[in-house]
Amino acid sequence: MLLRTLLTLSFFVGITCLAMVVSPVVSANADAGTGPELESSGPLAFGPDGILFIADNQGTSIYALEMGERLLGNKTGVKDVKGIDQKIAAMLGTNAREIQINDLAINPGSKNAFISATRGRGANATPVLLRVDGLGAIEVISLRDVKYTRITLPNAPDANPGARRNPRMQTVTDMAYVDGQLFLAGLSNEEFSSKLRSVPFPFSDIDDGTSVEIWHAAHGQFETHSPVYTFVPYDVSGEKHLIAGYLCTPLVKFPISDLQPGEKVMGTTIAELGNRNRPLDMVVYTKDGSDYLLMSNTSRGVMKIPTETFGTQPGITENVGDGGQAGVAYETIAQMTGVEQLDLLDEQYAIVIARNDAGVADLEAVALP
Amino acid sequence: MDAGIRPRRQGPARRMPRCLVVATTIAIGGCGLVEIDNDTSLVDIQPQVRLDLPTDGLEVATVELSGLPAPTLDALRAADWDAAAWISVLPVTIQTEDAPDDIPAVLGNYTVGNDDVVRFTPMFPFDAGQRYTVRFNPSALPEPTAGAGKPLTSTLEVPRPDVDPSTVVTRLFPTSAQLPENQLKLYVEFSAPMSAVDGLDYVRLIDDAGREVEAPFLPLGENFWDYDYKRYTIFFDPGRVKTGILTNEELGRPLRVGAAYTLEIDAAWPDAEGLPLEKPFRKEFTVGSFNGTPLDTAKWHLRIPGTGTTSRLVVSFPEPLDHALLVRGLGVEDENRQQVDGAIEITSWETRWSFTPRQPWVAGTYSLVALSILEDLAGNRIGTPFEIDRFDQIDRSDEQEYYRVPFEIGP
Repeated sequence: MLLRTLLTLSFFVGITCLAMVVSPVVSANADAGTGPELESSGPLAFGPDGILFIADNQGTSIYALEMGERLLGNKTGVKDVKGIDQKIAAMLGTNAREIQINDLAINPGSKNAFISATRGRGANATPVLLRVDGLGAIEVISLRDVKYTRITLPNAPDANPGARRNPRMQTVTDMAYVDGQLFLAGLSNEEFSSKLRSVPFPFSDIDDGTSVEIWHAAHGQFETHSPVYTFVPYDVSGEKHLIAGYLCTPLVKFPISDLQPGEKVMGTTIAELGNRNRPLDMVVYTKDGSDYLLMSNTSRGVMKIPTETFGTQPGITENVGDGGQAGVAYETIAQMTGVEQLDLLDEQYAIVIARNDAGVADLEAVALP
Repeated sequence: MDAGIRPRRQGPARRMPRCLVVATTIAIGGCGLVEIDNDTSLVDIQPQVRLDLPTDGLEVATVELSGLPAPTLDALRAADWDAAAWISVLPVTIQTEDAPDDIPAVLGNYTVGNDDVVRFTPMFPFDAGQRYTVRFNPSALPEPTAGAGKPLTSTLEVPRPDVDPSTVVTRLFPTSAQLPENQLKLYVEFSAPMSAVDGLDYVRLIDDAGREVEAPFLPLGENFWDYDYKRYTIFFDPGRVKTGILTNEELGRPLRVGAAYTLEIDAAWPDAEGLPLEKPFRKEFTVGSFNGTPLDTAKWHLRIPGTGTTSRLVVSFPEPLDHALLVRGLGVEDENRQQVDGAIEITSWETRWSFTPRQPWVAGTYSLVALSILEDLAGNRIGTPFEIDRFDQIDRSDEQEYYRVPFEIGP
């Protein structure tokens, strides 16, 4: 009741605008084995103890792979690879048009780059996991002997399941591991809503985790329940938060501690970063004593956003003016163009996969702006 | 193929000629012979390179190098080479116009068979229609190399299956000829699986003046396929559909009340075999007024069947509902809240849902069960419009919520 009162009050006083409802996941299940057979390879995230999480959207599963010695190739770090899409394609015996690079993640220990990709777009489309090391060597990671645990995401509600397969797909678009919880953001091909799910790790068939539905009311006081596309964990004012990038493109903060089953929580829209845009990836870094969020986008380039006002920025509730930008200020990094994948290498560099003017994808280290 | 990865689905067996495809300048008879390098100085030189194609579509085509002298083969068998060493002798590379100079070789497994053939099996099957270069570098062989011949360069190609385009758009939902101004999404159904591509590259919305509507749809790439890649979801950009959002205020709604539009689907949209559609697809429709009214189960009409029959329960709605959500959003329970097994049919422009039970109805109380996810064409749900302007109404959760409409099957 108190929460509802707070929610209503905050609506009237103009604090925005994101709400979550957290409820138990009812039918997820976990298993374990060796030599996982992925149906698809989606977003990547590194977890504790050499664990690599990989989302298998076609298989509606999340795998936790025990990578062991596979985390390091011949040399630590990652060396630039021009035409990474062409080279991956060549190694896999196909044309670069048939290669889809789905995600990039830098292992925090070896600093090698891991790439989730798909070979082929048709009937024989096959998931592939690759590693690029400090010599620029590209290697296909065999999962034959890799131990894994897996959690299968719950099926969509179905009032009349019958014998057919449910055609609804829940596509995980981003993952992040924080203190024993794996957070997942995703899209559905039937419902325009967003699911932010948290699953405890190690996976367990006893504790199936929680599921969060999010929507916000930032635009002219209308709820939009827009999908979260990418997010990053970040401490705001000493408290762990998720900073989430929505479609079209509000930036929103959620306190992680509030994401409890059965609780309804509020997030705050701290920036409007422009319409007709989709955020792709986010990292947080420190430079000259200040923290920044670096965010790549489909149509608005790479944005550098100072985080120092994340704790104090009032929530945006009013519709924003020309250009659709409001709230926390940002700077567009002109020299970073065509960035499709982004992850942090170290305190000085990010690793990006960026498409150049010729349409070729290059893997390269870029100095953090 | 490497363990741990598998194609998302198995394609149909293709009609493949049982023959090698391309060889060196040494002419090897049979069908499917494709262009070769015309270095006539290599004529009559052994060994030979050929592509061995499987006939059943399940095995992987392999590159074969035959004709090496027995001592060289014995040395190869004893060498226990890694991939890099093998690649120095028999690299296979793709041919592309824009390939960089340092293009890596195709990954795969090399063996020396009991039939004295060196065999390269690619990690992934060779693509039909893709040309590959095979080089034989005898200088990289282990000693003794006497009689191992001269360097060879060959072009190999797996022929494309001889099939005509046959995939078509079977249905486009909504099937109604009039859509609300705030229509939320469209579903394109295909007769066969499609490629994992961004469908928006092949879809255009044309207004009644013949102009293409600017950016009407949500650009989310290849993420909106169903599991079988036979249905693609097109979301209208909600930023343009919804009131009070900047995109809407700048560009307006993509659909204007009273206007007529045509949705055009290009035949170039590739199916799972990489073939275009058999023909393009068009849907013409007009646009009706804004729909912001939530669904109301009290306005649904139920035609209740008789006991002892397997006649249909027919539910009629006052407006079309979202087809995909209607497929899974309605069901029937008996008085013990056990799901009744049966088949559904959706007709009359998605305004009618029929349920035929597998077992005859028995007298008693049943419930039509509607999930809260059920929507009309504009995203309005039961008791909840798509657009909400009261913040305390957002009390929705991920849990399955049900609305039950009880009905009696008489004795």
